[in-house]
Amino acid sequence: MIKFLATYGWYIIISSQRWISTWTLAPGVYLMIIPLAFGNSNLKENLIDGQKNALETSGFSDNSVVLNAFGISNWDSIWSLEGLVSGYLMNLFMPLLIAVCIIGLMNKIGAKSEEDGTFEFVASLPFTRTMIFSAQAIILIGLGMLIPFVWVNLIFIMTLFVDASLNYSSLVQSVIQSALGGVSFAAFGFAIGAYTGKSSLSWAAGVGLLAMEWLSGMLAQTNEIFEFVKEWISSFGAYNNPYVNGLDFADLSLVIFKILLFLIIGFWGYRDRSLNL
Amino acid sequence: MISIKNLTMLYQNGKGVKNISISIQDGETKALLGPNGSGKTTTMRSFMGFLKCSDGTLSVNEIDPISNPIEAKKIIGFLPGDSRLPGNLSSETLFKFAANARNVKLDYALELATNFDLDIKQTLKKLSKGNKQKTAIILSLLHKPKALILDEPTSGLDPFHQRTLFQILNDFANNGTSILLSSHIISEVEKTVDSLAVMKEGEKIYDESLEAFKKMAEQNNTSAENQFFDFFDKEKSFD
Repeated sequence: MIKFLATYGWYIIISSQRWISTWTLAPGVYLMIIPLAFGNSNLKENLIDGQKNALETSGFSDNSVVLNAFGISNWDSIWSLEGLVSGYLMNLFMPLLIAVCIIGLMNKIGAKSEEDGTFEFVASLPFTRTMIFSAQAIILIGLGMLIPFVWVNLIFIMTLFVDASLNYSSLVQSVIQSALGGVSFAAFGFAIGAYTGKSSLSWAAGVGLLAMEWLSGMLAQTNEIFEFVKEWISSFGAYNNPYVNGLDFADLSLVIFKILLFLIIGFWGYRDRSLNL
Repeated sequence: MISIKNLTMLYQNGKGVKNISISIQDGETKALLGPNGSGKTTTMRSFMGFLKCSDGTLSVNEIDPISNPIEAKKIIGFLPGDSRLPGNLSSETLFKFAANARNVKLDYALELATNFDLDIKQTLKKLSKGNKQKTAIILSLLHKPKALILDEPTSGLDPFHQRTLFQILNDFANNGTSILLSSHIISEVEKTVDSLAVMKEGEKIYDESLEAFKKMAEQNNTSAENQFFDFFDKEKSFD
């Protein structure tokens, strides 16, 4: 099994190397602008403080629905580097990026490769469906966790060169919870792709779940159902700022449970269906 | 030996294959002939376990490819009808992957690449259709399989490399490999096969030795090609 994982894992990585390398580096490089902005007093004053004043004047800061829409739980804290990274970036932006990156990748090696026919070659090799699904699930979780680690490490490295700081261990705890949230959406997309062999349904399921949970978080204060979804189901709701509060067992358990549940659903459909060739 | 008994596989639209039985002995080469949509590819994909069949018993050297896919695929070489391979990889990379997956050395793949005049360093997207087909053929042969399932193996190949392919297939057959290969027309494969089965609208309508088929054509005072066309539509035949 280990030899198989190494062989098939290598094939997945090299056949998707452009997608993986682009998604691993590009967002991280773009995000390095955040510590740069906070580390430069002129930029901070003009860009960040200026934005804060303008948004407060417009009434933005008093509108909880709008704040929730942006994943902002504490208006005052996000105007610091630590607050912005842990309270906005990881609360909303990172799970969204991870979901899109990993759903795309899993489709390239899963449902989309069935549709375009490249999977027929892999299927003719002496592998079982269980082996193939397991390897893909490991890639899903492994890269879903590794890629955001690269991003935050690039952000952290930048803080070493400017007048801005982040606590590394708190950052790691935050990225674990945030990345798991993104992986949960990707896992649902992957599961539906594996169940049906259709990449369009994979995208619809993964992004659809993300949108539903995002909307539930945004409208939680207006409706009991949305409040329930946010508190008990949503991966966004499970992110309770581990940068400040540390990792919470219940929050971690919820997201890991969702990932496992989605993978079981996907495997159930994948194990003996006709391939979508 | 390849054995397909009473295979039925129906798609949601009701098309597919019904009650197909085909047997290929060790060292035998059988052609599976028929026009587009007759069920050749569906039969082959069902045998490989890619499509879920509703009925039938399948085996290769007494191994069920559905319940024991690893052992079965170790001894099967499969060539898809429309070979799509990752365009960003080279033939050499794919050979290495397949050789690793099958736990065999790369030597035979490199020998075949030389026979086919294939530049193995080029990425697939830069290769012509014929060279992509050569890559796919080598991928199906590199582990020296005991059974070969080849869906339109000559597709895209020039006549010279078609000849190379058939020489290689003859060598495999002489060494006891059972070969099932599909084609649209009999003239393409008649020099190679020992027997042929004809598919029409998802059903097998003929299955005899090549000798018996040629005899039938002789009795009907027609060519083998026109005898084949007669299975489908007499008006399409030409003299």
